[in-house]
Amino acid sequence: MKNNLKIARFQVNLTQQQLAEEVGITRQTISLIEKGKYNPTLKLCLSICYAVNKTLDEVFWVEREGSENEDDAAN
Amino acid sequence: MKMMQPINDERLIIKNMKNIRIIYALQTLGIVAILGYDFVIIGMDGIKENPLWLVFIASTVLLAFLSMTSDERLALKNLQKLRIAYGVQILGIVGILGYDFITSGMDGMRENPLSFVFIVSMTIGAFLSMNVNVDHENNKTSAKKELIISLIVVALISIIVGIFTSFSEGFTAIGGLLAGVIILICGLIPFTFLFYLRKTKDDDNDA
Repeated sequence: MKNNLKIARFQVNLTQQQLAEEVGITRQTISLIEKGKYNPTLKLCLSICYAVNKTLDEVFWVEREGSENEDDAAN
Repeated sequence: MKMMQPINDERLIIKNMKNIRIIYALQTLGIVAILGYDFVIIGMDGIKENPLWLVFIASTVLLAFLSMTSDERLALKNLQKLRIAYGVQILGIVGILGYDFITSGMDGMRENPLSFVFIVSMTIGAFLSMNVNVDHENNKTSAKKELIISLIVVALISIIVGIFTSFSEGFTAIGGLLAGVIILICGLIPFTFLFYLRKTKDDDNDA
């Protein structure tokens, strides 16, 4: 699943290792989440968001595919 | 330095449970093979006399409660149920092998084909858990350095065992050499595998 974790992490000047230690998980898990290869649970998403001072929306929200077309059609 | 740290990482916990699923499948295959052999050679009565039959039923009856679904909550529940089934299986296997060990000694235990199934599944389980352990460990030293230290230790142990074996009664120098080489090879395989895992972990490091 695509996300903005890498950008959010850079904005608070944390390395993968530092973020992992803060959240209490391994660096590999952070790396896999950033690459979109692992889907974290909501609990872990929240812990990550607290660590990078962002909301769930800012880090994990992705636009639904084709949502722009749907909006156009509704208008 | 803490030697044993509980795993808090949800990804590693799931990975661990998936590893257990593989070991469980392997063990079940081994048990089916042993019971199948009994059936072919002795017939249904042969199977019923084997206490492994009970272990097989107890550990597979849980499979009936597994749900075939893509729902992530139920998939996790399935893994937890398989872990229980694996626990039952291990208890049964250890019980049978322990009984063999008490009644007929080490040789009696080795004669039981179940000991082979047990050793194979434990070895594969150990290799699979290395993958989790490498992620979980928080070592600052490089993979290469750890490999070199491990190789030196294994080489020393194999030399010492080789020398002691060759000087033991009933063993020749060739026997000692063989023992040393076997220990060296058996030590090299897991440490090389660990090195490979640590190396891929280091390469993946994107600070």
